[in-house]
Amino acid sequence: MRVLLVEDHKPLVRALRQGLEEEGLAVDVALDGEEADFKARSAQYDAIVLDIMLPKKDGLTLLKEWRQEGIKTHVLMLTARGTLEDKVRGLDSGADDYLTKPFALEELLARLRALIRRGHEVKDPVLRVHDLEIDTATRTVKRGGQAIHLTPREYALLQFLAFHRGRVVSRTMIWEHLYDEHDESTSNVVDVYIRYLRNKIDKGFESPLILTRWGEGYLLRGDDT
Amino acid sequence: MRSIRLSLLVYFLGLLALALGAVSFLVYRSSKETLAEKNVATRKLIERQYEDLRAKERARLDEALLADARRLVDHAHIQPDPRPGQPPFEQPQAWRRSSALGTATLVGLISAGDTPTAAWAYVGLNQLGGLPRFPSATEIKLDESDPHADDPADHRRLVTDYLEIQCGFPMLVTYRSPSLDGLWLSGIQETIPPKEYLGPEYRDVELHPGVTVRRVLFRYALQVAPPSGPLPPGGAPGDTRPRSAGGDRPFSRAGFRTWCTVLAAYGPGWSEDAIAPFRAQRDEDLANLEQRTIDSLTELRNRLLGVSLATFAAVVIGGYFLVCLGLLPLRRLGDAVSKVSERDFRLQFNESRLPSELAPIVNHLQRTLDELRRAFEREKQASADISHELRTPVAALLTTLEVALRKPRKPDEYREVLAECRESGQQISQLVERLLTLARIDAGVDRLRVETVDVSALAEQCTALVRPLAEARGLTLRLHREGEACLQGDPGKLREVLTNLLHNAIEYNRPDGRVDLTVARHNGTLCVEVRDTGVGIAAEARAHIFERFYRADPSRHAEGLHAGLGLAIVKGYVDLMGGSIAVESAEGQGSTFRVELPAN
Repeated sequence: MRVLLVEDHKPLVRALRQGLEEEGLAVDVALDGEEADFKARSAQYDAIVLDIMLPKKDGLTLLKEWRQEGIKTHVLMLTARGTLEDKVRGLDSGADDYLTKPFALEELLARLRALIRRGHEVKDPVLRVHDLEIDTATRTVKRGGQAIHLTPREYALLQFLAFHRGRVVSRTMIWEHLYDEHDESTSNVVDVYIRYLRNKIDKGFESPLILTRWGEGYLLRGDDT
Repeated sequence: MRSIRLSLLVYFLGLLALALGAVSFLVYRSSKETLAEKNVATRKLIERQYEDLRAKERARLDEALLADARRLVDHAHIQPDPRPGQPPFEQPQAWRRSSALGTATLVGLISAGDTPTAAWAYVGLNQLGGLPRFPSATEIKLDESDPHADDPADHRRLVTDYLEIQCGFPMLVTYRSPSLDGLWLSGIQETIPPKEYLGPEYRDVELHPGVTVRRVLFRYALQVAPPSGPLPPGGAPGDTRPRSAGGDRPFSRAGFRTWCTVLAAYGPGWSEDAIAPFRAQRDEDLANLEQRTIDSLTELRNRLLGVSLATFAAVVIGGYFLVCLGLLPLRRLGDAVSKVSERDFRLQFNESRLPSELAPIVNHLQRTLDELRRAFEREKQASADISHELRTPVAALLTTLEVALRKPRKPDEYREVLAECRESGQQISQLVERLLTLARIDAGVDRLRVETVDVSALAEQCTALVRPLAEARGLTLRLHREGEACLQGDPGKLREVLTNLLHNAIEYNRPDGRVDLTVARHNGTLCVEVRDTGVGIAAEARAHIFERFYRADPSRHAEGLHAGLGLAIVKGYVDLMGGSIAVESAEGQGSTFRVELPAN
């Protein structure tokens, strides 16, 4: 899952970035309004964490412009402005959630997870595909009641596939959602991770869940396939 | 809490009550006086009418008295003194008649009690000189039979009780009614004038103390003719005495004149009965007048009371509405004021209908509210700014720690985290220091530690302090000074001022720009100038540049700590030291901050 973090306070950016990345999220950072605007328009993010007081262009203005232009990415406002008025104004400008500084990292992560689920139109935090269970809250995976340990990147890949279960996702899509802007790798790396994931998910089970569509991409078997 | 409406109404009504009371009192008093004057006049008129009537009645009574007296005198006869050997003098009828004509002596009158009786008086005539002898008079007698006896209205007035007849011929004979015994109708000292004609003279005579009678005095001139002449026929009416024989005996032709004085009086209370009706009428008139006066005054009082009450009631109602109407703008203002809240500082008031009395209040209120709104917004903005400035480093600190604690790290990583935390902590500390500094300036507890300061030396120190920063940005930093520039000031605060200004000049400069610090002295004023070659400050921003949290660049600068407090602190310190600070700037060419301090 790829997230855009818009924040101008560098120490906070550093800490947040690390926290989010360790959660398996691909994080792009924008330090001012213009940069954020550019990045939000040029890539598909699963969520945007947006500060209000930003150099060059403030968060509320940005958000209004994005919403007017049909950018539907879920936005979590993360700001020091904590009055009711500010929250109402933020939500009315098109934000999907609002969190005031200082905040607990856990809460931010939980809210981001919720936003990402909502972005893929999933309500249940536990994704079930046949006998596979993905608990997005604890980030644990079971198949046939058996716990499977995944690295953050493997987990992110599985979750992405699960969000699109029954549908084919291209390598580029996967790559775009799982790797941040600084990642030097190419979409070929996706094949590598698919192999890792198959080894952990499908190996030893009768019916494979991860299918390959040659020339198109991959898909996680949906309930009807 | 006192109500203006009620107070106004009460005062107004009190005033009205006083005015009405005063007017009513004056009207009542003047009416009463007028009425009293009229009363006096009317009373005088009534009294005068009464007096007139009384006088007329008295005159009438006097005339009646005179008439009575005359009538009685007509009935009087003189009793001749019968002489032996001579035929008794026979009272000739002619005598009496002539007495009535004033040609013979005679006289008399009288009545006694309610039953008048006629008395005869005979005058005995002595013979004088060559005149035939007359019988001498012995007494006067009254014929007590009244010819008008059958007229009760008439005879009742006959004077029979108080009558006195004196006849001087030939000797004084007097008739006095019995009730006059020992009393004198003429008065003790009164002397009847000599034999002259005496018209009727009326007088009140006090017979004895407490008894006053009305007396008439008149005198007859009697021409006594000798009895020898032919005598006119006829006799006195009512004369019941048999005539003596030989009544045709002649008198001497010479005759003589004599006088007969008659005094007659009505007894005490002579006029009372007659006047009583007039007096009663007068008393009744006066009583009526008094009653009318009382009635008029009562009516006037009632009317005044009624009018006053009606006026009062009308004014109570009218006054209430008037007061309400007058207070309406106040109420509207009150409504408008009550709608003012922390969310809406506007005074919703229709100014076109503003009474002139309220205009200054409303204008002042509006100005105050505007100022309040601005202060409130500034405060709100400031607290938002403070929140932001404080919360962001706090959030960074906490997030850094949380991320670090999520899983075991290597010692290098921990060291890095700790360094970041220290950085955030320092930022928070600096910010808190600045906020506290401003708070101390606001509270007036920041005192100057005054000592002699060489500003040139201080400027050099500050320049040295910021030089690395300037050089890191490729800026040229220069200090221009002319020897010592000493003043009495607080070196710590001066250093703060200079450092802040220099930091700004470096921060907002263009690459390869210049920063010039000049210390100069002009006529007791120490002037410190910091000139940069940065982007400059827009005119509208210059007005606010010394306000807290104000940043000429509305977007936040990503580098360093710039909460917009530096210039606010600079201005606070310069003000504290009694100096002034000004800024000149041309956009794109740089800014010059100029601090002037008194160098006494």
